[in-house]
Amino acid sequence: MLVASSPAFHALLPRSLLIDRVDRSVQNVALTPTAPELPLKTLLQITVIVCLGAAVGGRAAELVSGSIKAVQGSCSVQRGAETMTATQGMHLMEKDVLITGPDGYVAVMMRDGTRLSLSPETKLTIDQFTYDPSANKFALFLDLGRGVMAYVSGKIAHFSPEAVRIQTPVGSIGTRGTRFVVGLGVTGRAQ
Amino acid sequence: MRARNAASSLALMGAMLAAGCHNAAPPAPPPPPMAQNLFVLLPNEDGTTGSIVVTNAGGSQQLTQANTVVAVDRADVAPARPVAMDAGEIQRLFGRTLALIPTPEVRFSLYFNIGGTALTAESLAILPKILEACKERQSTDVSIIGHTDTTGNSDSNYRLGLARAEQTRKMIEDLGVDSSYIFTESHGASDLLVPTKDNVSEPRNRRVEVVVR
Repeated sequence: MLVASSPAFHALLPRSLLIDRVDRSVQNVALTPTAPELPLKTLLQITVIVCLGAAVGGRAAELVSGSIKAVQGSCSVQRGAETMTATQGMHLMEKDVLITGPDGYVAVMMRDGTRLSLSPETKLTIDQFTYDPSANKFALFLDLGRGVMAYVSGKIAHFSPEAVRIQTPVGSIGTRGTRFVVGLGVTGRAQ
Repeated sequence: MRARNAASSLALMGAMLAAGCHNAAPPAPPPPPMAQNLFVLLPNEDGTTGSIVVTNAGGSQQLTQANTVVAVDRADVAPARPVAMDAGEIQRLFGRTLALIPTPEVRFSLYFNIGGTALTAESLAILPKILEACKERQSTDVSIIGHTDTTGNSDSNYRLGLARAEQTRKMIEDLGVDSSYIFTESHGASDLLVPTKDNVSEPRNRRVEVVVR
């Protein structure tokens, strides 16, 4: 289980297979009858739920930070050592790096409802993403390395504005429920 | 004909020049900043305006007015003071990027009969709308969050909330939504829609929230 839950292992699996497998296992456990029965059996069930939850199931939603809503032109996602072509619907994870080409635009929806769009020649890293309202845990740390990003805040900014930070090479941005756009090196650039 | 056109053009130019010379009207708006890095606060979609704070080693500036911009030269030089930015210039520089911002997420609430995972009749009728929202948005990210009222203990409520979420997942899958797009969780009785004391049967708290992104 330790191996199966490691990020390295997850990275080896196709997204669809991983999520499907993870969610199925949780579903099967969750649908097990939970009416009072023998203490030993109950204990066993709880153990199974806790183990799966911690090792696999609990990570499924945590692993996914958002999804790609639209792509125009050439855009890619760097995940660890791997570079993938960005496609509509692709799930994004913490530490993913979005890179748009000279003709590339990409739109993203984070799991807290934060919405982003990037213009050509942009590099954006999802440094940290935590959205867990039931535990009151929030973090949205983005790093805009170059290019242009438009941003509309979501639930994290609503619940915990100080948990939102956008870093750029010339300064960082803190927000209060807001819509803004950052352009690095934009003067004279026609779009 | 041609001569007359030329003459009238000259007359027009003369008039424009004269107007320019004697023009004591308000000064033209300041040109947009020449710096390379621009932080622009925009009005929210509901017409209100939030704020951003731009901070670096040199200092910090807060923007609170819509369509204002702070320019930042370098990480060790304080951000410039906010100035107004022409809406047309914002559109010219960022219009295509702004137009690409996705449609907001949409939320549905489904309600359950007491103690179990059976949806009320009214809530069953909402399921097709969820499917429609998934298709419209081409969503690959649907959250189903199960909730209970405050009857029962927290363990059993956690399980009941999850069972309700899983039951809803099954129904949405049956409508044709890919299972890898759906994420279920339970908040048990920890996130009440209608605050109640312990052990209160409250139909509006027996619900799942479905968020289509």
